[in-house]
Amino acid sequence: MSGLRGAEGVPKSPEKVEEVLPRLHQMAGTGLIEIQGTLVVKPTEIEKKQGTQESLPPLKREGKAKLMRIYIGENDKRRDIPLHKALIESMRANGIAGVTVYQGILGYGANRRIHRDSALHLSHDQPVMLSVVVDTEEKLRAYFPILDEMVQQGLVVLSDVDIIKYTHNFPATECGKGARQ
Amino acid sequence: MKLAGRAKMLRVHFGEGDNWKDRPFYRAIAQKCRELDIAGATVLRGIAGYGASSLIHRSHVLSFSHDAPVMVSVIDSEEKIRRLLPFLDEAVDEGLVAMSEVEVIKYVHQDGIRS
Repeated sequence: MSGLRGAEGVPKSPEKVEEVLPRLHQMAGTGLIEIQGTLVVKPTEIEKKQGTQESLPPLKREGKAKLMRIYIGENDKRRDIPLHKALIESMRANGIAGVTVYQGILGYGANRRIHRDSALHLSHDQPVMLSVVVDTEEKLRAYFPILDEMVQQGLVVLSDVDIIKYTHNFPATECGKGARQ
Repeated sequence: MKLAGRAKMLRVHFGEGDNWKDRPFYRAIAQKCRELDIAGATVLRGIAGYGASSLIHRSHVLSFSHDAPVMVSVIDSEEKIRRLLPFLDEAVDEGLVAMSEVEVIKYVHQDGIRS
């Protein structure tokens, strides 16, 4: 699976990934592209003829990284501020780079409340997902005790990703080094 | 309910306008997950995308169209996730279902709040 930060897609085959990568490189700018192994359980019908498109030679910067996803509720709070904001601040303070917060429209979690976004409901308890990409597992593991203390209810999962592009506009910092090869 | 160590993440991609038995499909999936005692489900709405049909899904404020791309992410043990597959086989006629490996770091809830 390849994803433009904030976008996700499941290409048909590894070859397809290779095919779209050059274009993604151009589009991503200083962004991040991740690729993750995915088992397609149910593909959709339409098999299309592959277009014969010339592809630009990719300027690859590859590396292994970890992707952490945190599922919480929008109403979850820590010391009177929204938990997702508190988590972002705490991650910044701990040198964990690259956090994206997604707001969901419906969901349920460990305690089985249904989080729902509905115009008729005054409840604003929608699900929130934070996705965090970090170059080394050690760095994340070192952060776990803090995370553990902050997330009082929710789900935290970790998966392997391949980083394809990771550029900095400023001199390389600790965050960037590990991801480059 | 306990969830720890290796687990599976299932992601279902489709359109917000897709229905299953006269109600939004994402709602039907979330409900099915609850019935199957699956640990959790989260529905995220995208702002643009295209899929199997190559139609661009877009959420339009002015047209009140509700065809934004939607992704449901479900995380549980492989065994539990597989229980959901027959339903998806039946219900997804346009969309994509993908599964990947995850490691559960933490799964907690406040005791007693179960409905």
